[in-house]
Amino acid sequence: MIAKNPKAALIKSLLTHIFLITFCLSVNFPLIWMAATSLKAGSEVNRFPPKIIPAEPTLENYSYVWNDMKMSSYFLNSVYVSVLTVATALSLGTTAGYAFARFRIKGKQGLLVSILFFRMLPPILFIIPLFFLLQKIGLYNRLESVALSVTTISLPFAVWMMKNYFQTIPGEIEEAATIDGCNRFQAFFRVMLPLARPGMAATAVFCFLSAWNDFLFANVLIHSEARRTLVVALYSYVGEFLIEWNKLMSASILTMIPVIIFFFLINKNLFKGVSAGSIKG
Amino acid sequence: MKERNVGAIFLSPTILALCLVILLPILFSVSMAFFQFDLLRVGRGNPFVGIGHFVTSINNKLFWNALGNTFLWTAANVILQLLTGLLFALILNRKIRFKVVYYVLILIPWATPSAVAALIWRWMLHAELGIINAVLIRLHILTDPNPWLSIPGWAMVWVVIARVWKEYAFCTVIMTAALQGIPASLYEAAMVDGAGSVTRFFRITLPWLKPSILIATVLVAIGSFNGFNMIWMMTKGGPVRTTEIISTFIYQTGFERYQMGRASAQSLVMVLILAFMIITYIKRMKSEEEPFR
Repeated sequence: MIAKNPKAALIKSLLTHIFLITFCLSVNFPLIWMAATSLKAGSEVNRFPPKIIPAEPTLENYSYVWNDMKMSSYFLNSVYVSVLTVATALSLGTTAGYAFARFRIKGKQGLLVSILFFRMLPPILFIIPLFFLLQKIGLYNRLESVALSVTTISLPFAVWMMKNYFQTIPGEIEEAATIDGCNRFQAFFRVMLPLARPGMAATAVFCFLSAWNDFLFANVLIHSEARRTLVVALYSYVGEFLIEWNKLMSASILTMIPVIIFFFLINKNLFKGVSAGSIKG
Repeated sequence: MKERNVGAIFLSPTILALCLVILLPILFSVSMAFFQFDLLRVGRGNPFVGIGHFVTSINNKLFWNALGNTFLWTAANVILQLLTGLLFALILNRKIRFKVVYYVLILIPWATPSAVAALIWRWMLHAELGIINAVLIRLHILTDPNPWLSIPGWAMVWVVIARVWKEYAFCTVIMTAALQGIPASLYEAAMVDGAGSVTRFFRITLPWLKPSILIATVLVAIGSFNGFNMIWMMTKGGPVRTTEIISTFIYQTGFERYQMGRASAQSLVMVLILAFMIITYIKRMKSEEEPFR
């Protein structure tokens, strides 16, 4: 829009920036506060009123939670569960998404709608029967069972995301591949999969995060302390009667680091994926 | 090979997986709801109870309390998340420098795992050491620290705020995408016709956003209705069950009192309510759209 005079435009944009900076700072304040607390020594945390900037910043809390509170092994547990979930949901979601996007299938619409419906079901509905079923087949207290349970949430999502993504790729590309002598499988693996990489990346991140952030399934299905995931371990410290908040906050930051890394790595695709996956859905 | 067979080959592993991890548990849950399944009374066997669990659940005042709280929690979440999300999307839709930086900063809370978000808010709301109390005392709004999460009424306010803080960015993303789709020519034409910024907002922006707002409403409502983590980790449904929502209520029935049959029945009732709400909403959406066609 064209402003009437340059001075008014300058003031207007200045106000917008001040407004935005204030908002960004205040919505991120909880995270700033978490970071500040994680750098404080125990004696400083128990002081009231608190100061935002730590008097003597220390990284001691981090090394303590990583080594003495065994966060490192919980970290690995979380990675294992998340990678397993991504592998399952992504490989199934990609093939099914391709089938839904490109083939005439009997009852396709019905199938797609019911998959969407599955996605809307509450996790609490699944955890009760899964608790029994997984016990029956001897998967109780195993990380694989957590990954399998998270798949109930992430698989329907992956199917829809990948279906929408494949629909954005023009069909002529496969036709060209078939003319060049590829059969349908070769066309899929050699031509379509490389093209679908951005969509797969976004789907993978979402599946990874839903596994990484899962609390309900891991909390119910994992019994022994050594097999806890990060999020469950984090929460279990709160249950203890004396909470050391500075240590807890540094553990929280460690839990958040992979999430933030992913977030920045593919934020462009991520946002495209979200809008495609939710609006067309 | 026939076209249809190739499609079936691509699809069948997923159909099998969906049957195993989703359909089977649902069917098992339905059958559990008709049996005792009381883990603390395994010795007495597992008799068939018919619709007994459904009857006791519907006659249980605590179930209705949880349901009422769920509606309150869902409505508050939908309204606040949509308004905040829309506000940020509108501000970011202007021509400004460093837009990407602001966008990412606004989205960061969304990336916070719910467990972490719950812990941060518990720490900020801490009765003796919390920064929120410190700020309110400094501003002379309070004279003594308040144990916010232990006060009925306030506990719900704060869990809603915490959850809105974590989730509003989802609406920002959806609204930003929709706003970018509005053709600039629409605004130009309106300005030529002498429409002011308020008129332009209500006559162009809002109608254009309507489909996205409707969809965001459904998605946010479902997410909040099914919510569990934030409330469980912040208050466990307390104080005196004032923040108890349906998910945490079912969790307690199933995994703290070990009445798995009853918990299954309750979760099925929950799904029925959810399905009813979604279907009614979509039907109304469709009937509202018709006059414009």
